Amino acid sequence: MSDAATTRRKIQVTVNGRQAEGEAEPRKLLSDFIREDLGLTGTHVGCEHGVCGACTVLLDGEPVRTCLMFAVQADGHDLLTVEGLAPGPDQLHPIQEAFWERHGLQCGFCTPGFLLTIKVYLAENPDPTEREVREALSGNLCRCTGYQNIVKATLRAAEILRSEPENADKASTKTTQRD
Amino acid sequence: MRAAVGTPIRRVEDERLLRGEGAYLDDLCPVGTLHAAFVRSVHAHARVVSVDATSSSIAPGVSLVLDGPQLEKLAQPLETRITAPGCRQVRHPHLVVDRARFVGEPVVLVVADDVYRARDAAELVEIDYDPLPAVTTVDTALADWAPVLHDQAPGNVLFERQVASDGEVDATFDAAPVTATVTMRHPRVTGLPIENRGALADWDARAQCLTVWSSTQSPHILRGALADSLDLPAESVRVIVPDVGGGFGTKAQIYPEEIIVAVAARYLGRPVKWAEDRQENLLAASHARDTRIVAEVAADREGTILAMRADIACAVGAYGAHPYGPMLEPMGTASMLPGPYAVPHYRFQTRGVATNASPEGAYRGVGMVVATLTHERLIDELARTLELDPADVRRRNLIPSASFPYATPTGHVYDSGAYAEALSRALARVSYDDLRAEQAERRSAGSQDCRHLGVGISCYVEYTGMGSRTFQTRGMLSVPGNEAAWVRLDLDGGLTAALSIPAIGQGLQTSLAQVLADEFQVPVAQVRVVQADTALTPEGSGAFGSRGAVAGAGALHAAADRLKERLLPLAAELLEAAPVDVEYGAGGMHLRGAPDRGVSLATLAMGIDDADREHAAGLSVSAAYDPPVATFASATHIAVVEVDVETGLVEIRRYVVVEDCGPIINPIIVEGQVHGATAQGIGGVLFEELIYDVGGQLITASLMDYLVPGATELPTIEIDHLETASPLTVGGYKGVGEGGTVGAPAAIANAIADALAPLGVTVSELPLSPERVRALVRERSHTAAPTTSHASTPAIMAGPHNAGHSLVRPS
Ligand code: FES
Ligand code: FES
Repeated sequence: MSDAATTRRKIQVTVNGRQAEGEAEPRKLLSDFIREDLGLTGTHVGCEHGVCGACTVLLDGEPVRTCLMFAVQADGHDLLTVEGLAPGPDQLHPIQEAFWERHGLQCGFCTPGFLLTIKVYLAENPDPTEREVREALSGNLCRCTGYQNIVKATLRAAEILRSEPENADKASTKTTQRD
Repeated sequence: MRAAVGTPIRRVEDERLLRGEGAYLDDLCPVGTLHAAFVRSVHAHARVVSVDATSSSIAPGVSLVLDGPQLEKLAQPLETRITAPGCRQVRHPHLVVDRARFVGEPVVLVVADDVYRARDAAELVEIDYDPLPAVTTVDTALADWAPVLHDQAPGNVLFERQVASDGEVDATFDAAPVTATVTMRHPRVTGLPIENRGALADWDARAQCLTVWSSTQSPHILRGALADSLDLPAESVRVIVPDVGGGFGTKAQIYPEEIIVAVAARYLGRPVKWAEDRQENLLAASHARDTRIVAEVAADREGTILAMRADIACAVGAYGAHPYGPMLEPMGTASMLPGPYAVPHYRFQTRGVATNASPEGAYRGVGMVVATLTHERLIDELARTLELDPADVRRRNLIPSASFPYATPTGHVYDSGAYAEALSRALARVSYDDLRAEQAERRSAGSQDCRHLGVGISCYVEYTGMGSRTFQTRGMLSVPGNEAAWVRLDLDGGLTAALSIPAIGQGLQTSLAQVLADEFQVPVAQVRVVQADTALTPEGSGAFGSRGAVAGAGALHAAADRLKERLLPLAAELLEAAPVDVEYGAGGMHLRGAPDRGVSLATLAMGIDDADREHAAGLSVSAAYDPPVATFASATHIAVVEVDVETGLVEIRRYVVVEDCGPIINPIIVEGQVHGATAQGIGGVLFEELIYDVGGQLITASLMDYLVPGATELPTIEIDHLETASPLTVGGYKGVGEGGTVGAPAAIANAIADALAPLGVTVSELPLSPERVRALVRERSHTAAPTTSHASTPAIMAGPHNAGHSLVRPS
């Protein structure tokens, strides 16, 4: 192993509204950095080759597969993980609420990736059809639900978000105030 | 009172999981944890000549490198105790000792302070192999020239059995006016939970105790295996199951890796963790199915079934899985082939054949998937031969509700059901007659439409919630089958229950809380269910075989009764009455016939706190429950498909399930189970296939190659319920975890076969991927295509007697 690959580099990120700093070898995957160095184990790894979507987080507001990125590539960027989705300990994000209400999760392992993918999708497509939702979710795998209730939960979340559009913003601004 | 049971309450598991606060195996990392990586065989079959770990063991961060012979000095191989006739025991070392038998089999363990470094060091291990010829299919493994995988299993037969219900089978076939034959191959598939396998072990040298966290479905069975293998008393081994990211049977087996990390932890005195990656999962977690079957049915001219016979062979991989051995698919398929139909005479021959592939284990619907696929294809073929409607042929043969308990020719006793009702409801729901009219019209129009309409029906019955007698009878001695629960009246008047069955996504923490709440007539919020920690819960069997609701509810009922008994003297004392005059009522105990003169659970709990030691002993109780041999759930699935004969694409236009799992505890959870199970069945029939090349290399070792369905590939699944109670179980519950997977392949395969029937081709191999459908369509040019609908007699039916006999007659 060459020195360049194993020399640790400093990485600074904003994660869920807070500054965080860590050190990692250049080869360390962003998924591993988030889970091990930032201690945010809600980001899951299901395949480490970019297919399942379980490792999805938002990087500068865009969904990325953290198993396909190195931690050093996130240096200086803004991350939102599932832990930062709910406005606070007493409140869930409307997408989380909808998943709970419509039984959109079983084992819950794929769920964080779905929640973050849906957050971005609904921000851009507030009133999708069922078919459109299925297409939007086609990059995330779930082995438990057959997607039935994930699709229903997404449509329900869209409905909630449309009825109280300030929810979406509240969720992200409140996050920054957490702790 | 049925206050909580039957209501669709939101799951108590969910908030944590939605916030990303679940704790799955790889999320656990005690201080000082070391990380394991495995060097796995790159050959399907090879002698290991030498292992050189010199540079690996001095690599940065490495604390341990072990090969098979070294490991054998620290731990015994597992003995899978199977006493079933026809079953051969073979040795299965945790790490390869002299011969690797499949690609991905663990050969060397490397432990380092970081998972990246463990993998780096694993790459430095040099193994000298002497490759041997490999066999990956039933046919090659049974060939004269085939290499023998295990000396203990000549001819590579790990399991074989021939059973006839009586001596009349062949005579009935010979005399029968019609017969139909089906030849099927179900590919090798795998459960593919999105969370891979994993285990973390810690050794407490002072107490000489081992703690293992594993994403297993069977904590107590794992505890027994660890104790045996590491030569420890079972009481010194604690198995804790954290949140599990799906199991589906894949995690019901005991795996070498779970034992090996425990050995390493004990040896090093440090926690050691192994978290599988997806490639390892596809290579070395259990596979399933890989079955080829030839089956025949004999019937009279009205379509009444007279007899069945079948020849079944499964490529079960390199070893029998612990604790089930090599008989899961071969025996499950054979024993359920008669399905929900009255079959007077039946004979089968079935085999489990050793191949150079990952060992087969349980996967949702084990055996019953291929059984249902086959009996449902047979019914459709029979209908075509007789020019009858396939729904009518089913109606004629379904076991009537008045016939329960019904003994099948394979010795199962179906307890209850409403098979014909499920079929009628499903037919009505899809407007079956309209579909047939649409189909006839589209066909007769001589239309040039490349889309062909097909309707496929699948009726099935499945064994669920099996008890100890089942596993004893099967000869699976390491599978207990029973379940116990511990229930405590907490000091605040709440109730806490603990059971061994892990949470694998099936929502038991909620549904069993509903059951317990009703046992004590308290709100669900007043009860709490703790799962899967062998130090806290009494003995149990685990989450498999659609047993959670049946076994869990039974155990809770027994424990609740016992706790009420224990509370009775205290309540009597507080009420200043004789115990015989006190009874349990809503939320507490009261004077018989006077519910207003009572004491609540909270008061009783305080009483326990104050009372003498005798009463204090009544605070918590355990009780065991042994479920019946089996309770039989059933369903009808109907798929309506459009097959594009130009592209081979199958579009599922409607998918309807009418299921009967007995009384429903929580409707949203039951429907979720049906959705997910059906999706896996659809994956199995349309997309999924683990493919080994002739040399035994797995060429589908990523999710780019092993295709599981995504949201756009699956239809909306419409569900209707029947609730026929079991007379055998507490609450009448039947299991629901697996049914969807059992029913879906048959429904889709029949629908595609129906769509393609005018082309004179039939379906005999899965998955029915676009390429395979196109290949079937191209076959048309070799076959005289009949012009009419399912009422035609395709060429494949000619002379079924000749085609089938040589295979299914006992030799
Ligand atoms: S773990 Fe990143 S896509 Fe599967
Ligand atoms: S809920 Fe288990 S994988 Fe989606």
